[in-house]
Amino acid sequence: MESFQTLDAGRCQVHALLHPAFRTKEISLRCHLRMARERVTEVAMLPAVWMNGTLSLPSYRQIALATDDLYGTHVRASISKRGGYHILEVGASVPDVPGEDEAALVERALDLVLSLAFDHAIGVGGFSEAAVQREKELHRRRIRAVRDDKAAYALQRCHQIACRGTPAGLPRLGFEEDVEALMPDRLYEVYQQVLAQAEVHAYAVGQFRDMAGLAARVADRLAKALPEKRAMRTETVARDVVQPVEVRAFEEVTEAEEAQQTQFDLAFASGVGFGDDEYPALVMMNGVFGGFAHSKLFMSIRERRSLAYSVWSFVDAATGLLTVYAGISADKRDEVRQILEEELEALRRGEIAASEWQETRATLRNQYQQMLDQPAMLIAWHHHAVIAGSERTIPEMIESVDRVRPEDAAEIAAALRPVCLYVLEGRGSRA
Amino acid sequence: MSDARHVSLELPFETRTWRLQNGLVVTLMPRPALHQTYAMFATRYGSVDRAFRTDGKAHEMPDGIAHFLEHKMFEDPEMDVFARFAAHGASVDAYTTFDHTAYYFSGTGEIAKHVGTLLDFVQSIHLTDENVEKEKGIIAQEIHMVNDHPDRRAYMELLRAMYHEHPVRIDIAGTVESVRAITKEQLLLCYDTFYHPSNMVLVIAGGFDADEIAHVIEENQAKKSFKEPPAIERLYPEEPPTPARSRHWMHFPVQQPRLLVGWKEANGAFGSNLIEQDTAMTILLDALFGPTSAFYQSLLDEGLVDKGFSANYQLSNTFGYTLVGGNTPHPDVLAERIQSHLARVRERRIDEEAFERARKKIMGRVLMSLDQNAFLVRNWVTYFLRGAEAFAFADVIAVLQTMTLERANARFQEHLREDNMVVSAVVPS
Repeated sequence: MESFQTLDAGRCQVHALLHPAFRTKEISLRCHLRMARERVTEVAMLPAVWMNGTLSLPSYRQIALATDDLYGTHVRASISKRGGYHILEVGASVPDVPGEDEAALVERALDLVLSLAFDHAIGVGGFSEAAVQREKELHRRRIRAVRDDKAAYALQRCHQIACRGTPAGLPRLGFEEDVEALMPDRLYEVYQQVLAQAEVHAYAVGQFRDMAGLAARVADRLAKALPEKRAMRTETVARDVVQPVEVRAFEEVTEAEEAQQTQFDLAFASGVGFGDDEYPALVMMNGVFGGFAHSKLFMSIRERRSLAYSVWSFVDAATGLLTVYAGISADKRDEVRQILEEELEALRRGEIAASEWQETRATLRNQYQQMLDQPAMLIAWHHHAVIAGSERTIPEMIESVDRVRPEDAAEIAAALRPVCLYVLEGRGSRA
Repeated sequence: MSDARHVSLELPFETRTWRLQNGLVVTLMPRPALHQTYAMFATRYGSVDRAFRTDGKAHEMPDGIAHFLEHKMFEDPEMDVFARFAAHGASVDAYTTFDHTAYYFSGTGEIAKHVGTLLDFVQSIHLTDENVEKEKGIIAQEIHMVNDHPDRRAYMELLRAMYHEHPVRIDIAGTVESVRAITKEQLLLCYDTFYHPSNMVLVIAGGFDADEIAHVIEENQAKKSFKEPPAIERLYPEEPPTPARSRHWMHFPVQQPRLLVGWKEANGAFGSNLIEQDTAMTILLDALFGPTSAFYQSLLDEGLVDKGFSANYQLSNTFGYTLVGGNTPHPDVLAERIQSHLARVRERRIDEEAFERARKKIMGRVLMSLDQNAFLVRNWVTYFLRGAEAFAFADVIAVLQTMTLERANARFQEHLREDNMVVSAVVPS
């Protein structure tokens, strides 16, 4: 099975995967660092600021022109979070164009990616006064727009409450109240902090003709671009897993707004994160509980009682939170909660049919195997493992899932403690 | 760097298409290097097919019935369809659009078994008054979910303003009221009318053995008997070429206003004409509104749009439209800017450099999409059901290569006019 070759270049690591099935070549530069209240908003804005212009390509349009010339090479810069870590990514998907000089296309795409991350100066491109003013307004709107996707907003609120007071409880985009006072020099200062403090991982996946040469060149160029030469990787990774044993009161929060549907999110702490041995058992338990269309929650809440169209449970690998989500009528919240608690009790008693178990295992195996066909997923998996301080690969995950026994899943279920019920009540959703 | 007009393309897979005796068309795209297989079984039947004539009798159905039927196909007293796929590690789902309904699975092993299950569950129906009633609550929640989504609302509001009569103005899922009115007998009539193999297509791409799968399909279909294909006459109301309304403002609990400007096609298109027109519009819209246009940069500079600003084109057999827009703090100003931009282009014509740049970019994007099985299959199904009976990806590449600036200019003059334009906004209530 395919695996990454890693070139350790001290300050950063370059991970390369020669993959014969893809015609598209993926290049990705991923920097991660701990989230902190005092700079969360600034860090969140940086990828968008980078896309607004560099020293050599001082406007968004010039960046876009450069990508069009590379046969629509898809270049992106994004901010995501994993537990209490912010991840800044600059990536490029380069098409394989018959008759074109591959090495030249790849080299120019790489130039573009590195330029977006490192080729900046205060007062120029994305860090110019005018560009920063515009971006502030856009960022304010981005933060507000989170509310427009009700399901995503409710889940974010639920996890914020469940992880309150920790870096994992900080929102991905930061806070609207931070935006107003932001000046280009402050943004640039935080940018310098990111360059100095973030852990940097570069990825290349696809049919590169000279993979080893490319990896060496990337490592060399990163070494020149990054200010700190020493390795930033710390010995211990910060752990964001919410513990079920901690003495904390269960919180129930209801907010209301104009909407036809009510969002119901109930988060449980499992105490198990991606890097833990019990993680595959948590994933299996979740699959049987509400992970799939054959699961207990889907069958009981949707198929048998017609209470919801969407009803799922899912695991956040960084915090170990297992969250049940349902889109319902406001007056059905108690009924939904009662059913899900009954199903959880059944799981705790080990009531798992052989067919449920087998279906869940086969579906998970399928899900993981499909990731092997998707370069972006391969990269994300590897990087998430790095963040969790784990070396678990996708094939290893498949093997571990195969070894989980129903009693392991029952044990996980028994240890779950509810942390937060968040309900976003749609005023128009009372039947 | 060479010119996008001279890229030579060899597809990275073989394509096999044939028609079975019962009329079903099958296309296989075996790709041994991939783990995943994606298969889709689809019928030329969507939400706009609400009125039709069979055996000399005209029928008019409640809105949302095609989507309702899609939900009910998963009902089977013999098996839980989701579990049947899950047992061998595949996931199954379905969707309904304005003009087709598609059932699909994605799996990494035992593909022959899954193909059989896919054919079997869609080619049998099990309706009772109780299971029809039960579905109404689930679909009501789905309608509420969609109605709460501002982007979806903005899109449907625009179509409502654009069309006088054509059912593309009605939500695919219908309304809670129309769904309540749906009966078992109506669902059966629609099933018998539109789910005949001769009205359907099966397309599979991914890591499987083509000979084995071809055999499985032939055998599965040979065992089943079907009635003679019904003669279907689809009835669409008379639709004037101009929009029902040129301006439509809607208040909605939303954080940011959304603006969409739309242009209505007077007619739909079929087959190769549809592919040609679709491709011409894709290049044209990218040249006019894409990220590399000076116009887009100026909108960004003025804070009128964010990077979600986009332009899309849809073309089916009986309708077609362009939509341009996104989030904006000032819907009126943005609408005015889009209109004056087009007025300038109308005088000066489309910039040749922008046109070539768009061609090159879209060529690269088509090549990258060949890595995505799901994308390949969906595209194939959509083009096929819209009349491209002998569709091939090479056709799209060929159209891209031979498209001319004159053609793009002619399309511009013909389609992006002021008299067929609609401006629609969703604004905070």
